[in-house]
Amino acid sequence: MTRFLFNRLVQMIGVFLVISMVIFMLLVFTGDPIELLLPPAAGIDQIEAMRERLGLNQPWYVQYLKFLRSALRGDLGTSFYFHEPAIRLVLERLPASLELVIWTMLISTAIAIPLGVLAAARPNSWYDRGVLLGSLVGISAPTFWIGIVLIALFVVTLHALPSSGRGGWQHLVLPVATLAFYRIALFVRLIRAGMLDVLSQDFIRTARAKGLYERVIIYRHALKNTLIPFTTIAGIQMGGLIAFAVVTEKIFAWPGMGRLLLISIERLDYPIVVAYAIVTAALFVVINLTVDVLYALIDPRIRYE
Amino acid sequence: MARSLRASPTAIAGAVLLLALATMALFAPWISPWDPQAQDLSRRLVAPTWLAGPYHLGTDAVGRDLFSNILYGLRVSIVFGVLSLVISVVVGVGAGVVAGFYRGRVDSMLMRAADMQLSLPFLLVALAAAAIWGRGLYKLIVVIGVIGWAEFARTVRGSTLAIREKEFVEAARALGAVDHRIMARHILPNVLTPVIVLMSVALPRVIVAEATLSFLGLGMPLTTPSLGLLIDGGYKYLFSGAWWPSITPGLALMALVIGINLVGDWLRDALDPRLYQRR
Repeated sequence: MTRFLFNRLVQMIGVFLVISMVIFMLLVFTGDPIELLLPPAAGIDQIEAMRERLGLNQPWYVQYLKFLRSALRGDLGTSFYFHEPAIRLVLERLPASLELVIWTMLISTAIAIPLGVLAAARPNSWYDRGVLLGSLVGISAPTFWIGIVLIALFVVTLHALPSSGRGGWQHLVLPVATLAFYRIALFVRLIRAGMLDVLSQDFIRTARAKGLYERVIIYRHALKNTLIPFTTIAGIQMGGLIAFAVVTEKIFAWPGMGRLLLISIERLDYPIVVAYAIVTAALFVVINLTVDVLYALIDPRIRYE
Repeated sequence: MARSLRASPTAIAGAVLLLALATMALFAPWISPWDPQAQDLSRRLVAPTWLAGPYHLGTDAVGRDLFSNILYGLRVSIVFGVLSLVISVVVGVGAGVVAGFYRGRVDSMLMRAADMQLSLPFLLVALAAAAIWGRGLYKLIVVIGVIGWAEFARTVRGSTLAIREKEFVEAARALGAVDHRIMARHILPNVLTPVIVLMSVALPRVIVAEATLSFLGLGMPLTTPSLGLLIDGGYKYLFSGAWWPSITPGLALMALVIGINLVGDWLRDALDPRLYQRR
């Protein structure tokens, strides 16, 4: 297990380096932030002075090596726009984004598991069909559009909830609902399919033959075995949520790192874009490792060599 | 297969929906009552007049007819989805067959790249790539297409590994067939079933990704009629009571994706009931 974790960690650091390099190089090869940073009337010497100060006049590999050297010291450069350390700007906004991601995961699993289990317990019933139809709509509706529909309903029509910013729990409701919509639909489908699969296996027939209560069979025997593969998919989805949070943060003006990323892409503020990529890559390392460990803990049959 | 389609009313509903939307998109220049790009500031945010016309679904913030724009937007979505999916399949299947057939170094390099990419969510990779390479229909088709290679490559590589050991491959080799002929004639046809299933999962994802990127301002240029751009342009007017410029284009997009998903679900069941949807 230790060895496995170590290998995974090394692999992830590789992913990490590649991401930083690819993003850094491509950013250097595109767009010039100078035009956006200085007023249009700025003279040639002013532009040159700015280039010199930001190190933009050096070849890309010198820029990258300098970047890597300071990155190892925890310094990912200074934002062209805010004139503050990029990594700090991103990390300051990380809790707001994580708040969305974690609440979404909790709420979607809490809603999806009972819905999916009940659907699998009575396949082809009206309830099952209703759940399937609902989940079809859920996986087909684009996340950003769901956010807009929710604003139209709950903010513009009902005046029930705030549409932007971060504050009390009321501010969380709509962004989390937006993100959870797709996840609930997907999880319901996966739980239902997994349960149907497990319920058709021999050990369930044995349990039935023993005369166990259906409730015990479903929740103790079947659900437990369904949750094992589900953990992996939930982990993948948690990573995906970081991407979808970007969209949701735009719609609800949520002060997270996704919104910062979008603004910074527009401003060609690439230290922030790189810092965002590094922080996100780190999040993935943590999420993937956690899923691997959880997987081994839940299922004693799994041993990492 | 035809019989199983008749046996599944949801698949028929999906196919009809998909066919209707595709036909409308195909004949957009003849069906749409207005030029989708024609702006008329004196007629901005006109509420839908439904069947009566002249603006069946209303107009947007710069006075463009929404119905016409949605028709052209569907067209862009479909063309975008199909073309970038073709690129994903060509690159992914090609890489997968080569990796599985030759194994060794090529294989481990390709698969490591695929694993690395698959450890990141699709939308995030797409977002990064779009941010770097910039806007534009064809640029984005290529970028999103290439990004989609990994799942195809990994699946096809798995099937190739199994098939290259089969007797008929050995027979072909004994008859003197060269590598590329074996790959194209004997291996390729036998690894395509899971590819079709994967395509049905990838198509909605690609279409939604285009809309999402366009919504974020990282996708289509402003002059392209894209559903994502329409929604982006419209949602700021929710608070002035105009719901139609943002809600209606999204409904069209959702209908398209529902159609694809219904047909895709049926394809999955018909081709291989054991294949599991990954995300």
